[in-house]
Amino acid sequence: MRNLVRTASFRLTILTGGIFLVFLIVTFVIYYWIAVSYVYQRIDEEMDWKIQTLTQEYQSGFDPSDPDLLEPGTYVLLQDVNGRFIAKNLPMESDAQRWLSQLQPEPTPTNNASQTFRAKAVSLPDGSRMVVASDLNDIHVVNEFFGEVFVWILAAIVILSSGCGVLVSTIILRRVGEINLLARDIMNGRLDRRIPLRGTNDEFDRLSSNLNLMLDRIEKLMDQVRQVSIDMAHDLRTPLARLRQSLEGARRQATCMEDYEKAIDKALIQNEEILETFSALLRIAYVGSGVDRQRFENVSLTDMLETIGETYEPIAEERKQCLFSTIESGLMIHADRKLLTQMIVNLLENAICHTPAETQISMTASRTTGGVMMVIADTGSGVSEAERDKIFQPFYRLETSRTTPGSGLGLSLVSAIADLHDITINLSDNRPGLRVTLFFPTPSTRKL
Amino acid sequence: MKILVIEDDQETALYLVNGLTEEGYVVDLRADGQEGLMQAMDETYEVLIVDRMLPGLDGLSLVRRLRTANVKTPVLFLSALAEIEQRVEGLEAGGDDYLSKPFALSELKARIEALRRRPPLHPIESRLCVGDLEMDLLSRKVRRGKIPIDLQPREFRLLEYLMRNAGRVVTRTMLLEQVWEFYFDPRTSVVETHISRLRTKINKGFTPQLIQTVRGVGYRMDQDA
Repeated sequence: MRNLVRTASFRLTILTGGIFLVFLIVTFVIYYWIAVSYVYQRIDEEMDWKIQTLTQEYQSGFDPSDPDLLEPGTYVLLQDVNGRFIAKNLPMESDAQRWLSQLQPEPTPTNNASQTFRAKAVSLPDGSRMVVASDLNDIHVVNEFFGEVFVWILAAIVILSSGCGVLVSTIILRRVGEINLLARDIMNGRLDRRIPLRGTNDEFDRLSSNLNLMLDRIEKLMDQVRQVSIDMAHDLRTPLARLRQSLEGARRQATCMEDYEKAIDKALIQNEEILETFSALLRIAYVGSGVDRQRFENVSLTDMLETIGETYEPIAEERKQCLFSTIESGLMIHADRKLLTQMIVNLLENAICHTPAETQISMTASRTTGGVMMVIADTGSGVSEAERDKIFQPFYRLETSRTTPGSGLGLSLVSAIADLHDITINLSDNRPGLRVTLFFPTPSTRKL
Repeated sequence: MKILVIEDDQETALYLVNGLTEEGYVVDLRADGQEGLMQAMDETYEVLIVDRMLPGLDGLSLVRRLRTANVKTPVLFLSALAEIEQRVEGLEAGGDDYLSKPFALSELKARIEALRRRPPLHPIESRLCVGDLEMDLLSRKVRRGKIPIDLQPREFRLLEYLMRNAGRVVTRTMLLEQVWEFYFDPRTSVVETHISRLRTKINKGFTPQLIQTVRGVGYRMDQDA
């Protein structure tokens, strides 16, 4: 029960009840005021009428002892000039003059002390004075009625809103409880658990569905991290093992200074490879964690690609490949120049390193709707459709490229840099070969 | 030639001091940022080697204060924080070069040499000469003896960098950073290929060979090799 009372839904229901109550009280007071004013008005009108009839009757000869003269609830006090009572059934004296006033009788054993009168006095032409009074029973009736109704309504609202609060909170608590229970399960390592949906498409279903999607993503990322750790361990163990072998070999077999030097040089190269893998991992992590976009600048993609083309043409030529570029002039993008250079160089070097001699490699860039389209295509052996997604995963290497040097991290870095710049990368068949299409959205169409 | 090393990691400090002393430098070492700053202000050094993460006062603040105090000694940052942005931070703080750990001693030495004899910039100077090789920076023409040499823009920049640093070793990394603005290690032999093409162009029919390979380190442009 304490839990229930502490829920937001319970508090909200009570709050709604409270606000409703305040409105009700205000309405009630207004109604009460209108009713009472009406009753007073009626009493006053009645008294005026009585004064009028009594005055007429007094002037036309008046029998003060006539019991029919006064209706029940109406009281009269008539004094002549000398203050002698001509008629009196009002249980008190009155000094009321012309105005309306409230009279309270002296408490005596015979009268009802709580009786209150409303009186009006007039002076008659012969100098005598008449006071007409009416008791306020009607007002008491109204008061009692309103009082009673108010208590009932108050009770009803308190009971109803608490009831609603408990009901709503119970329902919500149950669903939240399910989610909480599940969250605890997941914390305990059962990452495959999902929140069941009711199919009602209410806010809970939508929340659950989003949480489920989040869990899917987390599970996928966890898998990736696990996979990367395993791959990293594997990929680093190999060069470390090699390093150890060559050092052991040198320890056992080296006979002269020259042997030692050779062994050390080899060890240094192997060490360099390991360090390179680490710096690639660090850079991917660094780019993935979101480089400050404030550092982005306007970069001439045309100049950048022309420079890269100029740099790599001789390198392709040395490998008996042919690199040609067709770059539209005046292409500008908003980017981190250094990271972007590395991304394009990585893609181009992939095309150069993973294709045989006689391969044609082309690099093109041109304006298109909503941005700039860049294509790096080769006529090599290509990448099968099944493997196209996987090659962006860290340490993933195609069987055909296992033997070529490289950390298997180049494309992961490409993917991270592309993400940072909202660049979409698409791999397709170049018939034959691989075609990498990059789309650079212009800043206005870039999603935020 | 006096160098001040401000580095708190004992292993690295020892490696630096030993390595640089062997190369004939006089090396002072401070392990604390504050002490390092004092030392750099008190004495005159030719180059300061500053680690970024230091006890007392971090490397960036140290160099900023040094520059505020108008001390213009060239500073080489040495740091495990190797990312481009961090490098930019280093240079913005007033550093002159940035070398990420781990590094080879030969690379460090080449960079120290480049810093220490960084020629004062003559805005009027429009010609670079090494032996009979001449480069006109305004008309962007190169000739050796009387023969004009036709260079592509990137080759021109490569040659310019080599000529500006004539007589001292420039490493592969220095060339990648300065000529191509590549702040990573490409998988293909970018530097080697372009040096080889440049050599062919400027050495064709001439002696001596002006670009020498320094094995395991880099290249040096020199007329009397």
